[in-house]
Amino acid sequence: MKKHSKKTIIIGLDGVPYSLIKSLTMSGAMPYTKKLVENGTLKRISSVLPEVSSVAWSSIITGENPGRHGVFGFTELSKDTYALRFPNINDLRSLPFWDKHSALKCAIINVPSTYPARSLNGVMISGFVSPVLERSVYPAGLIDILKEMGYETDVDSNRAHTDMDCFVEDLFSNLGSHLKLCRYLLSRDLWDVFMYVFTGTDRLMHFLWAAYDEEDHPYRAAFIQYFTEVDRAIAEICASLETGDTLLMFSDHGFERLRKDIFLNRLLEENGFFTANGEDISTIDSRTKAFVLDPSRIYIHTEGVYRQGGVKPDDKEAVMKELENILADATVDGRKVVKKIYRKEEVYSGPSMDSAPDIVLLAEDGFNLRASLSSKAVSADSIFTGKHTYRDTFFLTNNAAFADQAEDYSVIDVGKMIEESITR
Amino acid sequence: MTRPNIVFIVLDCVRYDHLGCYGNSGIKTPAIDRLASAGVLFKNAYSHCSMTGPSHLTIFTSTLPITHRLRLNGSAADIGSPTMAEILKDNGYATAAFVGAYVLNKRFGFDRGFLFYDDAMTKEPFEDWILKLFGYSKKWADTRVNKFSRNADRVTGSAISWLKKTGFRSPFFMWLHYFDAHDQFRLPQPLHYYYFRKRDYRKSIEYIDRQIGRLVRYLKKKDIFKDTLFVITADHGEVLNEYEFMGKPYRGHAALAYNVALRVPLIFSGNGVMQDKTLNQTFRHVDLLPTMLSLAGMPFQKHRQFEGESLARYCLEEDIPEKGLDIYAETIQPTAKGLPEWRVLVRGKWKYVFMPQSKEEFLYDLEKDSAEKTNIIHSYPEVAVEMKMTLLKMMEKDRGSTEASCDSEVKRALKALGYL
Repeated sequence: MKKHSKKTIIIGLDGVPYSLIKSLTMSGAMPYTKKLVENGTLKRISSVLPEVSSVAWSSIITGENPGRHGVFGFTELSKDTYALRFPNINDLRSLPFWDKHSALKCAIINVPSTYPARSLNGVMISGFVSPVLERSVYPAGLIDILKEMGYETDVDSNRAHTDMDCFVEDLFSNLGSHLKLCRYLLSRDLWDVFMYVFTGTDRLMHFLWAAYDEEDHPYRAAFIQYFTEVDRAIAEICASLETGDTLLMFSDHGFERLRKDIFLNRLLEENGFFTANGEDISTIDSRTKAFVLDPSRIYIHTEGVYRQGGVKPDDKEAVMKELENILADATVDGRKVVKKIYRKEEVYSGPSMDSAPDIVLLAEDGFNLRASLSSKAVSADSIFTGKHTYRDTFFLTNNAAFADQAEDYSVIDVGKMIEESITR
Repeated sequence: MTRPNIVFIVLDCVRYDHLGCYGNSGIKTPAIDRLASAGVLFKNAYSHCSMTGPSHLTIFTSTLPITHRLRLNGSAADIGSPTMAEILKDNGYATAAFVGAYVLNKRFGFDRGFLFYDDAMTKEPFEDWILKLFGYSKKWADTRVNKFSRNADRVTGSAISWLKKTGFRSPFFMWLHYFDAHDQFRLPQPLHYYYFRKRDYRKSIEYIDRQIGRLVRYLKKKDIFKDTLFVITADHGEVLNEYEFMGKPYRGHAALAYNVALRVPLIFSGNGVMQDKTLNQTFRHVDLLPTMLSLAGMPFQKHRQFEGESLARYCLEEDIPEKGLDIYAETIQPTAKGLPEWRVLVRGKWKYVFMPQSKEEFLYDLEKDSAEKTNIIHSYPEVAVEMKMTLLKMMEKDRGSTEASCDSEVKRALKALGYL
């Protein structure tokens, strides 16, 4: 078989903001990445709405917007049974690049929302959320090797709620086991495209963004150390790059300090739009005019669309307008909560528009928009100190062909660049 | 409403284009042709896999191989859903089977729902003794089989004597499986002559046809023909050396999923079915059971596991607009290592083939290239991508669904990060 001459290495750093890359490379905490920045191009780009990993990675691997690929979050509500379901790669309505270009050998490791692993020309180790290891691996012959390495898809983030030391320790050892796997696959040289996503970065920043923000934070050293380890791993992976090969390194969304959790369904409830009979979104009834799914997707509970939908199609527009006014005026601690309100037609297009949220919100800085009914109040302090951002996502490449792209691009464009790079 | 008798005939290995009623003037099949002209003939009928056992299980349960997962002859069918015979028996039918080959022996589970199941390939102990003496017994599926198949006259004969024995109790359901057109292992003369007088493929088909004629005449004589619905199909087709396999012209069906191996004849006749109709409407084997049940006036909606749909109205009313149906097909031989697996999707005029091991893909325009000689995937990449999506999703079923049990694990992980 003809060897593909130019290889592409794709490295994802889940949630890592452009500003953090800037600061950690300047401070010397990420020396290898610093070199990459100096010899290549670093850009600030934007994520996709809603700015959450499942949506962003689905956009990256397909190069399509959610209106086309059909993944709008980690959760969907059944229009008939109101059961909460969790879309996986089988819900993706566009082909990921490895299926589109199946002549290329691809090693795809730890990319979120690629579970369950399907057959492909190469290797697939699915990323978050991968509940069963055996179904996260293709070919199946690798399962035993992974088990021997102590490979686990993700750290158990529940630990962070009870024992932060342990959680941080887990993050380091998880990174170690992932690097082992990368070494193993890289050394076999059976790939034209190698893609790995660091996801521990996102976990760390959710719980410990404050450690980066506050100089005297007890976990500050650990936070910086973690990124130094990530930098070492990047260096190891990039050692496989040969002249003419392309490196594409980027994040799927940014991060910032979380100031307050905002429970949007409670806000709707206060204004008479939302009624649930329990602490579960599936207990809503026909009195509900609109509901929210994580993180900031608002669906109008329309008659004929939802089994118990109470909003007549003719009234939908009026309900949306009323809702938009309420959201635009919402304040917490004297600050506006919502920065921008988008109708679905403004941000999405394609054959999956039917399952798109009617309205998507972009929050003001520091506000973490949530759908959970776990809080009775509209806003509350959070146990998390970091939250995702739409802005401040980064993109870094060694390939001048991708350096001149317009400033104003998003992770969807990154997906298109991946295709361009691997089909050169 | 009285229920009609049902005679369900499976012509093992018989190609649709090797019957008179499908336009082949070189083969004389007057009995089948008469049934076709008294009924409805579907020109575009497909099986879902070209292997006898798995294909029958699909027909009997209206589920695809990706669902029932029987991939081999000689392994026990794990039948999780009610079968054709079972449903009919529950609706008061006397059910009987007359199979022509050991592949469908009751030990593999195909007898489910049949009150009478005749799978004896030999008639008397003497035959067994003779075959054994000459060393013609053969190990197959972990057992010794003295004789692998039997001739159409024995299949028909057994059916007629069963009818007599039951006193023509109505309604009855008979499944007759004719194996004569299948390529068989040869016995030396004169035994071979005694058993397999007509080994030529065309002549075998003509021979089966005469036996079907015999059955029809008998039913007419007993005045039960007019209350009988005939359903005729094949479990799969046959490649007659038109394609190469492993460097040689291929005669057989299980290794290649070209249309000559997948397409089948399909005829519904009698019991109010329109006369002399030839339809272009696509028909899949999974549609056979729902269609048969509704033609016999039985509700089938309660059988939610059916993966096909009833196309009965095409048999009863004129000018029903054609309906596009995706056809999934495969050829997978898990024990035969190295044989390429084919996954096929036919949608309208397009046929898309994906070979998971080699990742090769093919796209054929069946209207312009019915012989499937020219791969035009590079001219229509968007068609191929759409079809591949559908196919990959279907194939995912093969890996088993443990989705529900995973939900709690997913919830826990999402909650920990505040995503729920």
